Amino acid sequence: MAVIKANVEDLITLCGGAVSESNVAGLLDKVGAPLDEREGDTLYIEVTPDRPDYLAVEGIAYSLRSYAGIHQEINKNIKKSSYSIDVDNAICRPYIASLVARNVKLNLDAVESLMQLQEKMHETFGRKRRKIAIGMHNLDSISGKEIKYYDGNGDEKFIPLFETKEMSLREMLSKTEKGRDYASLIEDRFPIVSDSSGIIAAPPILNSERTKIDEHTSNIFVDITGINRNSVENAAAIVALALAMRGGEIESVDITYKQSGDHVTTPNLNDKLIQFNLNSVNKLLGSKFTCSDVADLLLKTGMQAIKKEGNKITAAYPAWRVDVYDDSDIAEEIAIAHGYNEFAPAKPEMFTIGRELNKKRALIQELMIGMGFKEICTFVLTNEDNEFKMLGIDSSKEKCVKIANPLTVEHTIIRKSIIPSMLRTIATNKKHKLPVKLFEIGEVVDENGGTNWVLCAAIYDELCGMQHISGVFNALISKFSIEYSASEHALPYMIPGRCAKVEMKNGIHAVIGEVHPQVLKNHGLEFPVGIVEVNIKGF
Amino acid sequence: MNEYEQKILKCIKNREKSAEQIAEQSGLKLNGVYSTLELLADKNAVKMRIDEEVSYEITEKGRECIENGFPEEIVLKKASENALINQLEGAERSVGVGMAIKKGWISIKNGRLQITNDGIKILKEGYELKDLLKSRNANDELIKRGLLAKKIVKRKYASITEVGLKMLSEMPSSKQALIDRLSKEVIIRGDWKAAEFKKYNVTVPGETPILGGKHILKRFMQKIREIFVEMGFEEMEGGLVESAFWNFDALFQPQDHPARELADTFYLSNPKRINIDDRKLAGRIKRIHEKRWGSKWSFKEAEKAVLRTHTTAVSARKLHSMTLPQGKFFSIGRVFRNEAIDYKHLAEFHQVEGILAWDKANFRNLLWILKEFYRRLGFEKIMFKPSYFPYTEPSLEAHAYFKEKNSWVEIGGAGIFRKEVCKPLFNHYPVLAWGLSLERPLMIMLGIDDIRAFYKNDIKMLSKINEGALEWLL
Repeated sequence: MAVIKANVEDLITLCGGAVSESNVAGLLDKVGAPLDEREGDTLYIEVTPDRPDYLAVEGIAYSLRSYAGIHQEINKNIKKSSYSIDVDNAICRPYIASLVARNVKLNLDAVESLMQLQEKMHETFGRKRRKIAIGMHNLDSISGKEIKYYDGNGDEKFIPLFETKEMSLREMLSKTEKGRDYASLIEDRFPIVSDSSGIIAAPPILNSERTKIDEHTSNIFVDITGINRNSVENAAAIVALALAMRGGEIESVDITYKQSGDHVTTPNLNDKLIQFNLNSVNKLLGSKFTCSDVADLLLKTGMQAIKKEGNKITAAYPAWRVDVYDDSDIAEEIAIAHGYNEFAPAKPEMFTIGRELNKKRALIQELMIGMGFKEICTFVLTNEDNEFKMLGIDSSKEKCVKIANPLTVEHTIIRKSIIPSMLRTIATNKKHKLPVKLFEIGEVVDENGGTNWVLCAAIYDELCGMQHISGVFNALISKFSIEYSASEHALPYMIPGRCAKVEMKNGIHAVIGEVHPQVLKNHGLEFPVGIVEVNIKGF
Repeated sequence: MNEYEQKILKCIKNREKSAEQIAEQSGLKLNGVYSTLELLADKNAVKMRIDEEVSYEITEKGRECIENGFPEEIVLKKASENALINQLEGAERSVGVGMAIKKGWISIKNGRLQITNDGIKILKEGYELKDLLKSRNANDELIKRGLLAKKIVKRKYASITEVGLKMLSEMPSSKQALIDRLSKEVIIRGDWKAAEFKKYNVTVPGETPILGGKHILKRFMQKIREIFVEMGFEEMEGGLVESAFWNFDALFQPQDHPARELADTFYLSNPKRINIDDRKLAGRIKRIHEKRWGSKWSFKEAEKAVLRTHTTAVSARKLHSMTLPQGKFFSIGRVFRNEAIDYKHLAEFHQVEGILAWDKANFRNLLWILKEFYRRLGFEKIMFKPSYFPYTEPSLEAHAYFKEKNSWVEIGGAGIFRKEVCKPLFNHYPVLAWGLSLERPLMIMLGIDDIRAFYKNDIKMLSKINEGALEWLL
């Protein structure tokens, strides 16, 4: 989940009196952008992935105004700018959207907010710039009105943002930090946005130094490139909203895809329409909202009911909302506008019978506790050293579930047995009063990924031997009237001749033995350990 | 109370006695009586009194006088025989003659002793001084002559106190040996019928036994399990290794969703893939994804093996296997996140999840179930906030009020599964769903700051945590 920063004064100004210092936190909760933390004048607001429009402080302000009933007129019927983009052979990132904003009132807060919008859009909605990347330029520094978008060969030169020397795009990949970070996204194709004087942007990596914006900029040109047409156009609407909230007059840009011959004009700020069924919304919410209730509530969410045919209502919603698909989305909008805590909880009149699975596990637990064992709960995520090396097992021959992308050396495999965790836990408690008697009933996973439940129990004591631990096993198994046969077994971590394997009719098996002194030493243990592990699936 | 103490207290029960008397009457050794009296005095069971007594003892010389007669007596006898003075020797001559003359018993004439009338009388009636010496009578003459010696003796007297009387009354009356450990022989022979039991100090704490016990997480799981069963939910369970298909795709998470990235999810290199058995279902999921998310849906991506990131994968499988259009299910299980471990985060923890499938289920039912569930867990004040999950709409977060912290804390997420989730899986709608972490509410309720405490398995720490939780988890 993204967290965005907002200056409280700036937000209050943007909201035009809809919020105040005292009610801002409550209102943020109500519009689904909860306040995470406040540090002085800085608000940290949580934004969920369904609301990329909230990645802009301006987008949050728009919602707060709507909720409070102070509606902001955003001119949605925008005029065309004189700028156009020709898309020619853009294979790497095939789609582009663009817009022009004039007379934007930028100050430091506004510049920071726009930078944050870009950065957060890149991170989340833009999937780390792969899906979309946004570039903002000073319109007054752009030469000519005809912009080109194409894949270059890497030899083209420009001065990247915050650099002083001209370099080729290929050089940019190694010489700049952003180049190194995002080189993998372009796979040796070099998307270029250029005007009549040359490159203004090398998306998704860097803009040019020539067209950069600062707090004195008032006319802005925006390019948004990406691999999905809907996404770049949705992002254009969100950026347009942010700039319009800063007083900008938005103008559209014509885009022509040379290969397909498609013409598009972006941004499209016309409201989108959705038709929903009032009955199904009421049914889902358990509510009895009338058509006019719903119209009022929708207005609070920035939507507008515009048509009614029987139970079918058509609502218009802003172009920058990307999370509205069906009745359930409308139901949520209405529930939020009404206030979740205003709904009276209602007991579901539905009869079912409760049932617990695996009661045998609770019985085994009870028996073990009855024998004076303490229960432990250890991790199944572990590593080869802990599971094999410490037990004198040759890990190269062991097959188990392996993590493909471990974050640390601690977590590389999933355990096949609880015995290694048990020995480490005894080591944790070796200073405790003897005897230390522990057990765990938990999951182990076989090499094919199958989960099994096992019981592992161990005794750490001065006078602990095979007879003590196998006595525990016998006491346990005798409660389940299971026939079994034991035979001598050899395991690298058990003393030779003091380890038994037990086979039972219904596929249950167990190992019982005295742990080998070398393994005890590996774990820093000074007294013997008797240990048993039983697969309890068939109990 | 030992045997000496008992006997002494009994002996002085009615009146004060000296140590010597006690020793004599009780048959104890005098030394033992002295030392025991000191002990009893320390316990305030007796009161001691020391008395000085004057007595007279016959000296060696006096004893000779009794045996052989006083020198003057011998002289008197000789005088009765008219003996010559020269026949007298030693004490008779040096002391006896002078004494006898001084007492008027004899006179001397021409070197011979002559008896007087007084002397005859003494000879007849006996010497009074001798009787006095025999009875150790304080007589100045006897003392002066060194026949009787004056002696001062300090004597200890003991009298019983209230405390002593109480000790005595609590004492077994029998004179038989006390029974300490109740042995098999004692029980069978029936010694206990006549004997007294040694009294123990019953206020001293005994030796703590080594206890078996449940792990706090398992105890909490059991509590939650009980709550679910009471509310009519049936338990479900699934494996830890899952395909991306069940973990993500079936739950309508787009294949380029950030949660599916390597940074959040553990992908496996063995097994690398898990086959999607139900190709028809996969087809339905593919169509819905492509329709809604716009990009191509890849089987290869869906077949990737992962460690399940949530138990919602278990719910998805359950919905797909349901034969009835309605049901209530729950699960409690391990889930995994590819995260660095710190006091707040674990790569592996437990999730609790409940679902309710019913065609008449609604948002208000969800709120009721959440309130009821949390109330039974001990969270009385619950508030809801809008939230987002890819597979639910509407979605919400539940927050509980904590008096100790004077604040609201998030304790779980919930929502109504989207049609895009429900329809392909079991062709009914809606399904209410909610989930919470097992560890987090426990931490808040028990005031534990470090989530790792649950998995350290330090026996001392665990029993301390357990102590704090026992009553709450009843």
